[in-house]
Amino acid sequence: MWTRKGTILLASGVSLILIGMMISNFQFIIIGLTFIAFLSINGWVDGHSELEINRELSAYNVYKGDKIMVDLTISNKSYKRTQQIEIFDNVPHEMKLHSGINKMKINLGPGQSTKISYYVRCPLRGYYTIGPVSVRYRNVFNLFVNESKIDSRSDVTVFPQVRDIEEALLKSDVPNMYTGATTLKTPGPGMEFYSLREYVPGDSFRSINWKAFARTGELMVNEKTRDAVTDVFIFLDTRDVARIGTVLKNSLEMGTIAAASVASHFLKRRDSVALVTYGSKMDYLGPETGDKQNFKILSNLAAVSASGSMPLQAVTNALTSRISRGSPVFIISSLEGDGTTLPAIRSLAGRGHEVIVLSPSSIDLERLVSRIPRLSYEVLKLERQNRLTAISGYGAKVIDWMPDIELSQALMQVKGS
Amino acid sequence: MVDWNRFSKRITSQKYRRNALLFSFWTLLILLASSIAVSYVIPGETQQSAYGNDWNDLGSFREELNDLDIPTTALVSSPLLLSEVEYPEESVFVISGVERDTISLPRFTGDEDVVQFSEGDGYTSSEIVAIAEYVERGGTVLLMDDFGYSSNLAKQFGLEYTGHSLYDGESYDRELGYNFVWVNTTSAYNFTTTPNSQKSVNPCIRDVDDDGVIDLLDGDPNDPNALNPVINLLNVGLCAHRFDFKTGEWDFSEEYNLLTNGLSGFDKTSAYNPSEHRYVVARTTLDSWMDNNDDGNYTIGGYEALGIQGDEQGPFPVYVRYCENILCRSSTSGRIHFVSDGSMLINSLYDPEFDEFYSGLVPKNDNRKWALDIIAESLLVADSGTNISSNALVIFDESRHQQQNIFGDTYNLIYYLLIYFTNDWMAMLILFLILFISLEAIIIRKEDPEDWRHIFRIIYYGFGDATRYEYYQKSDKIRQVLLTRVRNINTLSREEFDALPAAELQNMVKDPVLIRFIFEDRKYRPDELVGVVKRIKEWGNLNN
Amino acid sequence: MMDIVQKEKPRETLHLPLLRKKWQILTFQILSTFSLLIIMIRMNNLYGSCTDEFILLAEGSSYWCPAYEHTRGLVWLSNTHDPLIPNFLLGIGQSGLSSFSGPLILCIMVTISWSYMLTKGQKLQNNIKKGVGVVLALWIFLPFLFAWISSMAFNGPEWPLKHFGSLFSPMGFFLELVFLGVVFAPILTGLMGIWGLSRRLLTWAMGYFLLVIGIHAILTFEEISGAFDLGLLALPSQIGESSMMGGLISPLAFDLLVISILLLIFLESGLAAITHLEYAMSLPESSKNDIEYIKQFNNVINSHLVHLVVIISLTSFATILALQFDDLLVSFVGIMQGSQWSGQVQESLELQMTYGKVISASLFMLVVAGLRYVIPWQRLIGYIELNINNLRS
Repeated sequence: MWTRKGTILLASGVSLILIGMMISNFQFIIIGLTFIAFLSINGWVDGHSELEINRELSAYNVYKGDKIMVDLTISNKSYKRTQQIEIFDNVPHEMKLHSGINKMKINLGPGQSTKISYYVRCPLRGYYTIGPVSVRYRNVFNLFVNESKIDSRSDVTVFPQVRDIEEALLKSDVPNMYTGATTLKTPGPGMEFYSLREYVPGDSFRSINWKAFARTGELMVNEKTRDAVTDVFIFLDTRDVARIGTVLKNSLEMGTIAAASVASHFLKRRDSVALVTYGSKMDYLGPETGDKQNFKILSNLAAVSASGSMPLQAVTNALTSRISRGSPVFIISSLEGDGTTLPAIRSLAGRGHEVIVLSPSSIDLERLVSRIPRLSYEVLKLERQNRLTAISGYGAKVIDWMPDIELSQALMQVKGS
Repeated sequence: MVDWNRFSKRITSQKYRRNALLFSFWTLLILLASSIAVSYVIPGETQQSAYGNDWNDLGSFREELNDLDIPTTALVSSPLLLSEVEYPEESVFVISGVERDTISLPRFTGDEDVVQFSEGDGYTSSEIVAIAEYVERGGTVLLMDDFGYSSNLAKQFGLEYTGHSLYDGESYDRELGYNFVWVNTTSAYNFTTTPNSQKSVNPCIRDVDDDGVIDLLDGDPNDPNALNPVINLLNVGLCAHRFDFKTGEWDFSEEYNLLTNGLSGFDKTSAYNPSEHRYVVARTTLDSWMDNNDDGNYTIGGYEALGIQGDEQGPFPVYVRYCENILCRSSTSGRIHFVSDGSMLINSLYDPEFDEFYSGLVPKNDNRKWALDIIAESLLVADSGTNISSNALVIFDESRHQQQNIFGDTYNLIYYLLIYFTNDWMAMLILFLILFISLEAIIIRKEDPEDWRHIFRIIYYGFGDATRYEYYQKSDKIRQVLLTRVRNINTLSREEFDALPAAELQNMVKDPVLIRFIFEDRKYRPDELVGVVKRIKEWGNLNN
Repeated sequence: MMDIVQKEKPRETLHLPLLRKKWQILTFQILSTFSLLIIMIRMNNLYGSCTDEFILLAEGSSYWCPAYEHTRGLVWLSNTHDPLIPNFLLGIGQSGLSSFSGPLILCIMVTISWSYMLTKGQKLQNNIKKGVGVVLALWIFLPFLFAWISSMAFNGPEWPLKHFGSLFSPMGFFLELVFLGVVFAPILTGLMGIWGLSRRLLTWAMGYFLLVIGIHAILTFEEISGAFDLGLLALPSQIGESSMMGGLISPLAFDLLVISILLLIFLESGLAAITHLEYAMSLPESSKNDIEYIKQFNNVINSHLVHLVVIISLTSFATILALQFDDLLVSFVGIMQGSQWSGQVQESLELQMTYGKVISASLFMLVVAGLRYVIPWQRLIGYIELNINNLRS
């Protein structure tokens, strides 16, 4: 492609030649010819983008706000010099360059390589792709330019932040839940010793009590008590109204942090945690334990976006049969624009579930972006208070979570019935 | 079924419009270029070219000139170049057949019309002006054309072609046929009707002292007794055609017997005009007739009633001389020789021996003598001998001859356009405008790709329904919020609350301001509402 | 959380103060400066003379024609009043290259002052500009006002008309600057553009040179010089016989070509320095110390130098050949015997004139441009380079 300078040079050259002929001026003709010759000779030189790109990231899964180091190695595998090319590694605009720069002007000889290193910070959760690599060959005298892309991409997942809420939960007024593995007085798979019994074919050799064998001369096996694990259900509101607020501070962002923190806390304690997100559709991640479940939950939370208007009751109705008896239920929602919240919570409470409602204050989030008249603000707050009061009236623990309050602090403000 | 919505969306999209614009632009450009090229690039039979060797080309004439050491050159683009000829008074411009029309381009007329948009045939107005200026500067033009496009050029000098074939009942060559008409002039240098020979115009027959030696070779042109050099091949120069080497005699005759092929003629009335320096040199005989109806037959008489134009009887002027100076007396003044036959100097007539095939076929004629006389008259401007100076030049107009292949035509077209756009004022102005507009368009429209840089951009947007704020300032809404609050705090269901008597409600609320607010349905001022809301908050906190 | 790896700071960095002393950048700037000065001298030789008739008409007294020359106008001006700027700085009374040295010194001093001023803050720059403006205004109007008021003090109220003469003295200074500026305006702007790193000034200087050539061409155009003879000596109408470089180019064409090439060198060298420094400036601090960035910067700038030398040389050679290509074309066509068209072309008037030169030169350029598809020279050079690198390693 011709650049502006190249086009002007060509037009000027032709014009000078023609004008020179009109007024019989050799200088103009020769200057024009020189310009044309300059362009023609420059046309011989052509850059290329036959490059080998290798990108390495310091991490492919990070938490919101973390830094990633990107190392881009560019090698010229061709027999031709690349000539002057600009390399630009496309970084999503949601990521911020922390240090270094994602571009470089290079001129690699055959077989040569170079490296670009830079750091990016990820202030927003989500799935991102770094790449492709844009290559622009620019003629040395800026007469021609040629762009292409090298399809080298790296996927990055940014999880929501996980806060440490153990202390907050301990100090809070949240009723004790059966957290962690508890022992039941029945034999079964578990950790604690229950009794000795005779060996029957099929028993694991590991469970043989050799001391007892030495003593009695008979093969005996250790029997353990059965562990029981609590299922924690987390309902996260991802409806469109969860978008209220700024991009970095809204119900959904606060909700994802809360969901991630709560899930992480209970999974550490070896509970099984289930995640339900509802917005334009319902996504159900069944209760599981362990790091794998933590990763799945974080991945889900990284992907959620605010859309749709599914009512809570539809979700609870659909999942009632799956929620094990006595399982605590966390509902993380602004409670805005959903008339089915009360009946849903009432229904859950009625089935004996411990319901904790963690509600980011949508009105205060809205206030971050809109100028709400004072009177309207107070009335909206009153209305919200009414709603929360009504919910707590059905036995749910309600937390009115203000935007400027940390999660752990908010959890300590549980309003019981 | 065609989805019209989708179709209309597609055709109104930016990409489609851009493609349509590009397509239209290129189509127009190609059409324009083709229309120009078509009028110029015409495949056809090549003839009357000084660089061809066919029977109907002028190659022999040119070769003879080269043999006489006269430099010849071809003009392949446009007669506009004649302005660049340095010594026009020592040059001859030979036009043999104008076979090609010109491209019509607008031009400044310099008069009240200002701009003329359509051009005549053959040569453009600018080219005609260039030829006229060339003659004014002393150049000689030899125009030989019959049915070509040279009428406008002739008109410039007050001459008109009839455009029809001329036949002669008596003076034609019996062996070659009716098309070959003999034109005889006994006094080619008597330009006017009065007997007054201007033979001094031709240096090859100019002999002031009548000593039988032309003045250019005469030791003393004014003294008949002066000692004269022996005339031989070395000193005869350009006048060699007048000297018989066998007999040693010099031909001083002013007579030409010209053989023509496909003759036409000039308009009788306008041909001869001494006041405009236009002199008829040769006419056809009384037996000649102009085939006005082009039927090949002699149809004279009153057939006008039947719509048939009758033929015209001769004699007709077929060779007219135009002089810039009266009677062409000055050797350096310009002149034009108009001949109404384009094939006067074709190889088969000029030099039948050029090809064995024509040898003996064509009778002896004075075409060669005549042509060489014109050359000598034009190039021997100084009285310094019969050899030309270094400035002499014969230019053959090849710009109006068809080429053998399209490449040749294209090459000539490029030259034509280049010369036209750098010589004609109107064209120069158009070219200036085009260049200026192009340059401006490039400067305005052509943009370089932007420098790459990473932009950290998180779209900040709020999501709040600002219209509802007003609703929350209404007393009804505030009342509703208060009542809900009362109901929630007292853990009553909706039905229970709706059934509540007023007195009990008042008991629950207790606050007189709030009670009045609940029961009084009137318009509240904003400050009143603010007070009410404050009280609701306080009431709520107390009860909690 | 990842920490930034601490790298050892290299001795060479891409900071502007260091880059400005880099030999490649200095080479570009010095090359550009020399080209500028040589253009000035060459243009003065070609476009700085008046016609002999005009000089004769002057009959020994001072004369001036709108040529690319500064001393004539200044001498003419000095006849009416004493110039404010000393003669040695104006170049009056000197001939040849000496007449340029004084004004050049002025230009260099102005360039240095201006470049220094650019390094200072915006506020100081504004203050300096305001100060200069105020001083100028005072110098122009104060004497006039003083003369008028003092005259009124002695003679009573009067119109200021008769004191306008005191305005002319400062005007004279401006006229001196104008005459100097005819030749040295592009030199000054060129120097400021090169050393002050301003693209705008570089292109301005280039445009000015083209303007001078254009004005000279118009004023010496036959139609115009016939009507208004300003005494300007025109370029010869014929390009002349090719007698230089083994018969490749005529002396006149060579002079004209030298100016064209120098204009290119001036512009491209100046722009090269600015482009590379701009790029370095756009890098963040960490990249300026990064070895890879420094290495590649050196690669880019070295290749730019090589390109400049090679391409400009090839351009000169190509232009010379293009100007001579009409002869080759005639010979080539002459080989094609028997064709009517070949005969016409061989003897064509156009080919003997400028038109032929232009068409044949354009054809030649097309051939030159097309050579890139014929000769895989980049691949060849790449192979050589690769083998050299392999040998070295």
